[in-house]
Amino acid sequence: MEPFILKKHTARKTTVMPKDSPAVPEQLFIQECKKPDLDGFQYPLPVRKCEYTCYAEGENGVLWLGSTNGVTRFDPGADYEEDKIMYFSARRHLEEKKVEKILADGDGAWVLTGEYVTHIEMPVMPCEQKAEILLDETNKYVMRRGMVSQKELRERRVLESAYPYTSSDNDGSFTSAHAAGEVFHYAVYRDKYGENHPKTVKARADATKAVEACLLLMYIHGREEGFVARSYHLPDEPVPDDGFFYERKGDKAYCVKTTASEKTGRTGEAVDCTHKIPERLAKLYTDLGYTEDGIVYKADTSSDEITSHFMQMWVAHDILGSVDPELDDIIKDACTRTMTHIINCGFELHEHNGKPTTWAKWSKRYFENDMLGYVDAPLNAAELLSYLKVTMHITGEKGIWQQTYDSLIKEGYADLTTKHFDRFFQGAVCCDCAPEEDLMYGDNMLATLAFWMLCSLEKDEALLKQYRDGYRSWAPSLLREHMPGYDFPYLLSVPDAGIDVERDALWFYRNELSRLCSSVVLKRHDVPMKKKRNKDEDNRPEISALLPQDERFITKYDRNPFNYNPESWHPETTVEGCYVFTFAYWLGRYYGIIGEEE
Amino acid sequence: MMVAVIKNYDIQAIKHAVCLAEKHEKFKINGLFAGEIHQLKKDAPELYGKVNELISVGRWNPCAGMWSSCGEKISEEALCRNILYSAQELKKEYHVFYGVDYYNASLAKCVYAGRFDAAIIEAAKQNHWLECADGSRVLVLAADSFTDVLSLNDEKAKENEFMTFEEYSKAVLLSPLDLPTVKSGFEPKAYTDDEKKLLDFERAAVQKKEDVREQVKALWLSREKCTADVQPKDNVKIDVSGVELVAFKLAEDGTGDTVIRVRETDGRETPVRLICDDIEAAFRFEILPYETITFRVDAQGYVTETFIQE
Repeated sequence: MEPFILKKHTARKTTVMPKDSPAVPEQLFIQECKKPDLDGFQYPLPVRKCEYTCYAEGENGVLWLGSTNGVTRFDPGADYEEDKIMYFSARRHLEEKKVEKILADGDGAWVLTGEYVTHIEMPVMPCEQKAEILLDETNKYVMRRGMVSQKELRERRVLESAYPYTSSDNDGSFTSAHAAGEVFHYAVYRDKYGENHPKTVKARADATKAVEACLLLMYIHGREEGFVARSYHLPDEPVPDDGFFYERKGDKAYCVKTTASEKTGRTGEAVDCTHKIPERLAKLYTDLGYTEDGIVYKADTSSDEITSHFMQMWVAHDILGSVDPELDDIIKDACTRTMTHIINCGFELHEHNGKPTTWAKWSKRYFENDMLGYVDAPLNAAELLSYLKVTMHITGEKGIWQQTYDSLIKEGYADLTTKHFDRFFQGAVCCDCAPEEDLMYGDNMLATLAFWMLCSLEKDEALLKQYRDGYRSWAPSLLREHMPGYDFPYLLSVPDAGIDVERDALWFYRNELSRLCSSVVLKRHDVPMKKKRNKDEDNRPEISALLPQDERFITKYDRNPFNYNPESWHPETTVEGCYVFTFAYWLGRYYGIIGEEE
Repeated sequence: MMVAVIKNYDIQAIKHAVCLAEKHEKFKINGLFAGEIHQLKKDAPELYGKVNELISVGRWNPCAGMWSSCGEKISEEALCRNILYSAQELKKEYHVFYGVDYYNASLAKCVYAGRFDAAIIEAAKQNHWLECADGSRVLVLAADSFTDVLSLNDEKAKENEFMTFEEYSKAVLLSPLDLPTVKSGFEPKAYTDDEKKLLDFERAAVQKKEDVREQVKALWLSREKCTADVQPKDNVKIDVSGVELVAFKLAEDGTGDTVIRVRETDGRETPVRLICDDIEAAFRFEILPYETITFRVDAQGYVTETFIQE
């Protein structure tokens, strides 16, 4: 396939400052405030016409419109229809809603709102540069010992005030996607610049660190029988009261007191942790002066983590394996141990006490036991089959892996993978809601990874057809997000996928230059709110249009992008990792789906 | 468990059902379309009162969705209007649509957009998923296992357990299903030429700020032709060619809000911009291939994507 060539595109950069900052031009305050004449204006505007109170004319016919609720930029000459109207709202881009004055400045504008001024700049840049900017922000402010999920800030909007620690249920899942993106990043630079170019060397170092961080989660627990931890904390990091944690002391780990552990009587229970952590992985904390003692890891791991780990091991093996045999050996060992554990535990992930974790079950007894298992079965069946395919691929062995795979096929696991749409719809209706309101949005990523792995590795035509049919059964929920991180693996896996890569290009173009979370205005005049089908009042309704990335809330791959929340979502004290952008971007570059202008 | 039904609009059958319900507190009955309940109010007010009481406590499940037991093919918009006016008459929200036939290829779409989860269709030979061209789907349940109330005596009413349509549908949905999916294709036109005149009449009335809701309702339900020949102003601009305006009317609840219904006809997923300066509406939305969407615009031009019953 010919790559879609991404062009340089306007990004938005906003800097908020107190109005008495010396950087603010005097002209802004003496600017006359004239109401724009919007009679007959032929584009939907995010604010009612009567609420626009001032305007400024920028370069090339651009109009900056100030209102009682944010700034609208109208660019009649924009290449894309979607770029003609851009909205800047509080508090993502402005400190307050009501615009008092506005002054055009080159391709940008100065905006006065109460006691603050925002300087809006519109730099033109290639998406590759955007990926580098986002990675740089993640490396500086989000990453901790190679893991990327998110970080909290002590001060609003001040990235430098990020706490050195954080807590996450899914460090493995998020870091795996980040790692895969960076591995692709390395491969693209290697092919473009050569192995020894400084850009390639840095990309390889970033990729390797992320992969090592993922692999460490597969060893940090020290359990002999194979297990995967969700996350881990250093001795001086606070442990949240959220689930099951084990503190390592010598060759045992003890369950830390939390509400969950007290409720289940597990506080203080001891688990062996005698399995040695590969030294190379341990350096992630030993280089900081720590040992295993006092490290606290999080257990009760879910299938999200396992699926993501198998994906990153597959990608890392294929691309880094040949240039880093030591890393590849660790990958093979981690893969083998995890797969062995799952098989020995009857296709479940078990805690040391022999009980399955809450959400890592791929067994028939789970599928046939209750409604939840019945609905989960198609996805979980696909996941388990994909783990076996990846294990065979990475180890180069068949043996028990192939036997297990064949046996699962006989039991109907491949057939199950095709039944998602029916069962999910049925499950949603049973809960009195529309599928899109009920969807566990993180499942979209899991389905993407599982089916992408299966469709890439399965050579048997009949089975491949079933897996493609299974992937197609996810299309209504996956593809409505128009997210390249979903669209590109789908395009690679399903012939005649019908993916609009040009629309995906817009997704890249309209991503912010920072992953600092903040509220955006979603009660807009130009976007309908969608009345919810869900009779459960707690569930949020949706909006009827997919807003561009720079006008909607910043999140990971696990939230409904159509969610409607009238005002606030985040108070500018959280910064997310960059993988949502970089995974999709570098995967697209690596597989030749997208390219950049030379 | 039994599903007892009144098969036709028959005063004797209704009386029999009421009698069984009064004698046996666990007895539940299903039947009567909205139009038939409306008719019963005139024909037998006292009996209507008793039926209404049973409906209010959930022991009588009317045939929700269609106005009457007519089984003819009707257009997509006529199906929407049936669902709308039936909901107005019944006042209570139901999750199960009841129909004699499939009516047209848009059945699944309209049933889903009417906020129903399942449809009992007399013409269905077996339970199945019905999927429309836009991907909407609904569980279709066959009616052949239902029991005619006239075949039930006191003894049977006493010794059996009974379910409403809603309970029956829920029971089916809670069981493992392995059903075939029937795809119903695409209905090329949302309305007939005669219905277009009625839609134009309705739209022109909104533009002239006239309230013709009752008149329009009567014409849809009686299926009489609209004799008015009006050309409304072309006041709605849609920026893509494959999306057509179907309905432009007042909301039925008397708030003065405007209801706009649009339909995709080219089979493409597309972002759309719609502008109607008359009602200060200027908004954008995503529409799926062959999808029909209903919007409600308030006095300030804010828009809600909503259900058919508006």
